[in-house]
Amino acid sequence: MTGWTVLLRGMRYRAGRSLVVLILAAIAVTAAVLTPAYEKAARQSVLTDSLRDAPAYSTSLTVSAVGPVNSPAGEPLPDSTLVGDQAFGHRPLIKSLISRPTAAVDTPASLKIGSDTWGFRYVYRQGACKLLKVTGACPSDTGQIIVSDRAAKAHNWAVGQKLSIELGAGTPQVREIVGTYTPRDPVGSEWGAHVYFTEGVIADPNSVEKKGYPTDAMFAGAEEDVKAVPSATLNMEIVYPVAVGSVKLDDVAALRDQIASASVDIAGGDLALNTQLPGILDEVSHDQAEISRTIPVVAVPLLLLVVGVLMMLVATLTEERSPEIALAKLRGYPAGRASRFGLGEVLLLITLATPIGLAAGLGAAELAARTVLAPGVHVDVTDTLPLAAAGAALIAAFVAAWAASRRTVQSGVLSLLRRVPHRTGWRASAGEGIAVALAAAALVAAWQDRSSPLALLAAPLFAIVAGIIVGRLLRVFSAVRLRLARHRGNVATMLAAAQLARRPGRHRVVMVVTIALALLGFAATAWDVSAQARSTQASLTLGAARVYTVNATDTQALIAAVRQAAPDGSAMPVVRRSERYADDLVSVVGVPADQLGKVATWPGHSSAELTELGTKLRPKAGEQVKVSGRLTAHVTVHQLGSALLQLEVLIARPGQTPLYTSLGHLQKGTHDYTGTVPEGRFVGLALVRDAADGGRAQVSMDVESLRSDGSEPDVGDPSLWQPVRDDGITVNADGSLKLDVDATGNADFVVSYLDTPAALPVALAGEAPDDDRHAKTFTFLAFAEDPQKFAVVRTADGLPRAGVHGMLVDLDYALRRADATTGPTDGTRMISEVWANSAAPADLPQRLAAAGVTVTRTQTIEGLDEQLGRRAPALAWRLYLLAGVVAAALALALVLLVARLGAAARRHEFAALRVTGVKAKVLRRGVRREHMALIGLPILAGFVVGVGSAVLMLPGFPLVTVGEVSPVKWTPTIGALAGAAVAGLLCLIVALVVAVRLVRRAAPELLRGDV
Amino acid sequence: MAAIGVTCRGLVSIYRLEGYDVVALAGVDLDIAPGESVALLGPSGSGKSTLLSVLAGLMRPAAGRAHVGEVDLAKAGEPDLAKMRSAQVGVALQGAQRNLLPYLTAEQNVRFAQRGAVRGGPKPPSAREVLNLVGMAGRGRMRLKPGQLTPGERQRLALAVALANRPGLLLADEPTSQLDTNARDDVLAALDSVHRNGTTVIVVTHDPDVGARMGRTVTIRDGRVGGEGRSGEEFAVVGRDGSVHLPADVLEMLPPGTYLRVIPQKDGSALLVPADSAAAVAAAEVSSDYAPTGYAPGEYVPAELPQRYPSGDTHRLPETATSYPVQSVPSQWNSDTRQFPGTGSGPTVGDGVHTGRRPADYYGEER
Repeated sequence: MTGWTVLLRGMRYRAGRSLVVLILAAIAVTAAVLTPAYEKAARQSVLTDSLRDAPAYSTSLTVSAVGPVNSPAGEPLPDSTLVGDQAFGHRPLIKSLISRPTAAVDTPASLKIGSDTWGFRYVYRQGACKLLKVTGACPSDTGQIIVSDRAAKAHNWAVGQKLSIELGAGTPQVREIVGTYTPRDPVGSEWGAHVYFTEGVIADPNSVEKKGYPTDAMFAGAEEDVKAVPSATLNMEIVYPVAVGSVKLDDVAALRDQIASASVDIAGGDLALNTQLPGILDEVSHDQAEISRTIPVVAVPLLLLVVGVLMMLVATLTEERSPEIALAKLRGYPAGRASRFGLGEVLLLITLATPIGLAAGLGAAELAARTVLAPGVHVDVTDTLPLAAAGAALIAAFVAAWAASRRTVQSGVLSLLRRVPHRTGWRASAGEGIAVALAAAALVAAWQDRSSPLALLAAPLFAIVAGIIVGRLLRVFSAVRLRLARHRGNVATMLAAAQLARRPGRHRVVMVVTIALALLGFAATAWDVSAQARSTQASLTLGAARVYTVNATDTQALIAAVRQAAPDGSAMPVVRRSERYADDLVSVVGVPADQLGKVATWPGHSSAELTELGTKLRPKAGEQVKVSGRLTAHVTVHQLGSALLQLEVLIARPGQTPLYTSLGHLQKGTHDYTGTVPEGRFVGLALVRDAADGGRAQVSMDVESLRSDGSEPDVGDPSLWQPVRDDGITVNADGSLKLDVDATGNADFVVSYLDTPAALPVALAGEAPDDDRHAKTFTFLAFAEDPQKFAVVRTADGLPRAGVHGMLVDLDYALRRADATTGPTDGTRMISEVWANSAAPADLPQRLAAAGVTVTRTQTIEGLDEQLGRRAPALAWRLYLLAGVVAAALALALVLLVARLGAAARRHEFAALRVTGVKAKVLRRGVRREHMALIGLPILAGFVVGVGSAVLMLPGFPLVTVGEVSPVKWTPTIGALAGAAVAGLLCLIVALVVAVRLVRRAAPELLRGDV
Repeated sequence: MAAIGVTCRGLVSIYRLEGYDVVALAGVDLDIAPGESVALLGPSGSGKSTLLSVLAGLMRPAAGRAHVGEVDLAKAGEPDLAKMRSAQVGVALQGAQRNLLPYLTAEQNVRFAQRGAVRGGPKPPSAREVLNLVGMAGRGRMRLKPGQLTPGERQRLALAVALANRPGLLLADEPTSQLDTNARDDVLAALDSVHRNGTTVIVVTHDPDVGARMGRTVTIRDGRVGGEGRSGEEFAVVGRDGSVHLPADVLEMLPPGTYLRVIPQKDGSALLVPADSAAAVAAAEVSSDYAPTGYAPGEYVPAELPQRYPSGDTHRLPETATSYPVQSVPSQWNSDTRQFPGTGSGPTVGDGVHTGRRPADYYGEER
């Protein structure tokens, strides 16, 4: 017989307990392995998510050149491709990530159709036809082109037709249409950042004047065709797509280096390497740093708890084996061999648990990766860190087992046989003192800087201190209760209090349960709060259930398209602009105020509140006055100085600067002043000086009427008229519009006709972008070229799409004000969107496309919420929740095990008490009271401490975004907190049931075995 | 292994209990020759189990000397004591189950005990041989676990485990307790077998029959050797300090506090005479070579002795006079190496009152 036989038979004899040790040790190793494995997978997830979220063209490696034909941009594409191939071919990492490049060269071109000039990109692109649905032939030779189906339809082009196109400043080139196309995916990443498909889209209003209206790109059959005119500006690109999903965490540093060195090589070939990969990697590093900082801090308390529970378990089990160890010593086993015999089982179980824990840790991390991390992210099984963690856990568990069993194993035979309980040593008290001191330090650190590592450990430290206090208090309290119960003769309470006050190790159980529930309470609260914060942020960030970013010709086209696509009002057009103010980005979001309640979402606010907000954003204003053709002003000039002044009217046209149309020079007396105006909106009158006249202008006049094609602005309502500037002009109305001017200088005098509020009503989130941060009116750049006036009608902490610093305005009013003043701002500064509620048609993108608006990006609140759930803070909170659940499970396992280990002795005690006449009912009551105090009190106390810690600490933690703290808000809901409360209650019930079963099996007959 | 003897001189053992020092052994003088079979008797709490623990090296002597074979228990370190237990001394604790690992078979339990043997030492006997010694060599029984054995078998197995390495000394604590008669006889037979095989056997027991079956009984009382028995006869032993433990029935007549005259007799015996028994005193002759305390040899010892005691002494004198002629013990019984002179030629006790008494009668033990 070998020692192994004894060991294995002993383990089999204590199969249940051995299994629990195995499980606990496996959990300890799992926790140790899970941390680095999950941390790495989480960092990989952030990397993959960020790279995938970025447009493909920005993560591609693009070798490019811009210039005329005789520059590097004009070199044959194969030659340029060779430069790229050579640069990347020498770099194994880049080589493994890139796929076959796509080379393209294009140049701006135009053609005349009637009197209009149409601009487009003339493109030669390798394999273009694979991305197009071509009707007819694919161009494959010089002189051949394909045009888009919609351009062909718009201009009545047909296959075989020849077009004369202009490239640069050269002579027109004749090209034959050999086919027509429709892009399979016009916004597909394969097209890169090029705007090839812009039929009718005015990307740059200036281009309309310079080059005419845009049309879709024309694809050439030969590279030489694009380079036919030497003066044409060529844009040559060789795009190497990067498989971003294959970029591994360990590759990041090497990738940066290789991109930098490849860039130098390519620059040597007079070409440039463009990519946004390094910038994206920089952004990713912030999240990764947060993960690296937070996750280990989360894992430490869990590991400590697991090791602590393991120590308690080993101590209890070793004590249970005292008689066996005594036997070994009695038979003359040397101290070392007796220790090995006493600890052998536990150490073997821990050793066996290590590979199980390693596999479980990697499995749990993989499960987390598959369920909560970015798609395609997996645990790196080749990483040595989890293996090292498993090894460290094994050693730590060995040390913990040795420390826990040291006193028992070193005891003498007689002590072991008598099983004298060990008293708590000074070391335990010192440890508790250190924990209390650390908790105090953490509280101070948190008070000063909540982001410090010590502050991050505050919650677990509070949990430990709570455990110590509750454990000690319960002992004292039970001793007092015992005295009282003895005095009153209350047997049930006496039994319960005696167990709690006297039985050794009970306070440790109380401590562990309190700590576990405190951790669980904190984690559950933090998870719920952060989940709600994420949901709120997702809602605020998007503003509606679905948000489509679109390409539209102009805002009016967008509005028309949305009306056509969603006539039921389930979607609405939105235009927004972001401007930097005082180092902060302020968003101005223009929404149809009357649809706000129906389409938008505003966390914490009802649809009715949104409707009410919409009403405030769109107060009643003057009627629009549409004019066209002849416009006549009936004016009486009472006084006129020496300065010559022209009476002009301002006509606004959508998307354009207002047009000044002269009605003639002012003359004293009553006259009709007439001019021809384009179709548009009457938005004001102007008294315009002659350019060279800077002298004193004096006028006193009444505008008695304005008429154009049946429209007639109300000249008698003073609220509808307002001078643009107050310098030298007074405006009154009393049946007629009275203007009095007395000023010097070159300035003209403009009086606006207000068919919108003079200052745009705005709902403001955050501080006003003004010197006075609490100003009720301010000016800011919005949809006009120049700053516009705003009047605050509502303030809030956050607004849909505007976020925590931005403003909501009525789109119609905002555009009208822009058209009426300086004209709309540069279209590139505006972002067009379509917001849709959950009831909007699923095929809205297709409907919008049919209406001429292309969807370039789709976002949903759920999707964004999910994405935020993969950011660093959420990943850390998720691990914390997992740690809390594991802690609670450990505590429950410990409670059940402790009950199980002492079960036989307790049954005999109960049986003896039954023989003495104590009723089973009384025993049951005693057991219930004992466990209510032993489990119930720590559960309650731990939970309260956990939630309290969360309330105290969470305001300093980033809940959603790294580096940003947000106010802690919690709305009662069925979430992790409720789950944790239910779990705590279930633990108590299970413990009670198990304990009460002891009494049921403690019949007096049990004692016969002792006789 | 050759039989091992035991020697104790003024052995004192003290342990702490709830903050108090308890003197368990208060100067034990005992010699057990190699190959002897001895039963330690005595009432509960008298210190016999403590003596066994000290001899097993499980407790340290607080004072005095104790030798087990060549091992000085006062000086030996833990490794030496472990070594002693592994090879020289087998210990069977009270309660068979406490000696056995419940998950090992009988054979494996013996082997488990053999694993404690010092490596490189003499090869231990086979488990079968050891079990055979206690009458458990049946193949079927060897493969049974303790829980599957009868109580008697379990006890014999416990002895077998203690004998696993064929020690020179077997210490068994209450090996027959909680056993029926047959099982007890089996155990005693096993012990006899062990003894016959040349092992010194020391058994702690409350059972007088067990004591009677052993060659010698040593009665421990109040932490001292209070009496010894040979072949069913019990003798009081005069301690180093001259103290003698009286039998229970005598103690009833002479309760604690009684003043006695110890009157040596010419025939070598001595009389214990209560101080107030004039008639007895009159009948007694004062020995020429012995006088009570304060009296010269040959001087008459009066019945009343108050004037010779310190004033204020309140010792009560017995109302009835009783005299016990006590024969002095031959000198060899006072030496450190007592040798029993042999049955029939041994000393008799006074008027024969003690002759043939069983220890239980002697000390009022009912167990």
